[in-house]
Amino acid sequence: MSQSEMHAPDDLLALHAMGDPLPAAMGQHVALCPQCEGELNQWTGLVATGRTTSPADMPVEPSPLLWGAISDELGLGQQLTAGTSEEPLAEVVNLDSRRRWSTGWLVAASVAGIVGGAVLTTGGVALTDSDPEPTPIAAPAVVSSASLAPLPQHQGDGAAEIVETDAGTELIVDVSALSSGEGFYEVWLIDPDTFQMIGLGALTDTSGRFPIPDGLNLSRYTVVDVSLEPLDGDPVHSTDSVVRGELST
Amino acid sequence: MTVVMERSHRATVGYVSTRPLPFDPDASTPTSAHLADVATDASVGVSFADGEEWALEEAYKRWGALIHTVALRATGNPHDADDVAQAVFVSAWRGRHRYSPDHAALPAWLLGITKRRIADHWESRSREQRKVDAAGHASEVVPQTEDSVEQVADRVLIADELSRLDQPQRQIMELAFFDDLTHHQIADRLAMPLGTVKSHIRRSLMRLRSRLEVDGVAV
Repeated sequence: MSQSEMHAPDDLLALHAMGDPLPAAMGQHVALCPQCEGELNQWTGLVATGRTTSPADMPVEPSPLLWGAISDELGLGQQLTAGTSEEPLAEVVNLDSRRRWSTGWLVAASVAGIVGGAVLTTGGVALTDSDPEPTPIAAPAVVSSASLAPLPQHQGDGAAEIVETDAGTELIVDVSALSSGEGFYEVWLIDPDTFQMIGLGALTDTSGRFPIPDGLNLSRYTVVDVSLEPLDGDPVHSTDSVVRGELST
Repeated sequence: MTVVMERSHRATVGYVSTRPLPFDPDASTPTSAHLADVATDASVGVSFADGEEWALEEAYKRWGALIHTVALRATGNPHDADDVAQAVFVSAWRGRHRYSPDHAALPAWLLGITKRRIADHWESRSREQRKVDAAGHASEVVPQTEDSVEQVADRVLIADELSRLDQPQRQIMELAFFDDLTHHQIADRLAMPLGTVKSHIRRSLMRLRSRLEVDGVAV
């Protein structure tokens, strides 16, 4: 088979689309061969689009809360939680499926908070149960607190408190029975209006204390979120939130 | 050109997850626990059509940023883009019986839905605007055409793939695509032999195309 009868190699066509001339015999073949012409058109299209691409075309991640909103609207995970135990987790996700995400997850979080609180006091599994007198005299002043409830398709619960201590403002997080997975848990404060978030650090035990940066406006960052983060060196929220709750005074 | 929408029916290696896997998928036996992590794009599509919830979540992880970015470009507003992206995944899941993995890649199908949800968005904006206009506060609502949605999707996919290239391929391709330099100019700029530049470009283009699932790839 002579060169003019062979189909043009893909990589030659690719370089041709970028402006390189083809070997003469190959050029004659491509001009007459519908298959090669089709291939070349594909490469030319890719290169043309590539040349209109700019650094501004990089993908932009959606809000890390968006998945929870989708999951909430669709009522995902109900089959998993319904009937597995008397734990009222199903109520967390069994919300009006038509609710849109602008308010959906916050309502879910607050409903879950109520339910989660019930678990904390009756379930016998939470850390706080071991201390029937949770307010010693020297306790730091509690500024606000939140019950943490599982996101759909996750398990676990917990509580969070913003406290004033001699050392400054801290967030105390207590969790129990969190969904396990690859990676580590990270604690975040989220502004529910702008979806901006502050990563406070890794939660390596069932309890953790996290200093709040000076100047952080706690009237804006009112949502406590514990996410599961892969060990990939990427500092951005994984969007895989496990439990969450809204702080209230 | 429509890189995404004109897709071969053959299952190919697809647009990969935006996150690296937190473990070596070859190191352990696939189980339901990390089914999603080792699934190919094609198998995510099949499981999606079968109504397996993990596939929806995985589809969101793999293509949520793409859908959101396309919506962001069309609406110009992150909140609206999140609303559109939410509507896309919700309607995709509710309409999953209409998705045929044999006929389209899942991201291509999702982008088709994205176009419709963006159109819905502009329609509702126009309705609101007419009310506002009737009240005497005219301003502009500028919807984008369907073509631009596809073009945006193509560019976002290419930009994303370029960002995944190792150096020096990435720099070379950016000079070729962003700066429109010829192979000779790139070789001069980087003080690199012309053959080396061409070799990098050739390999990068092959990789780009396999990732972008362009239709008509020769077997």
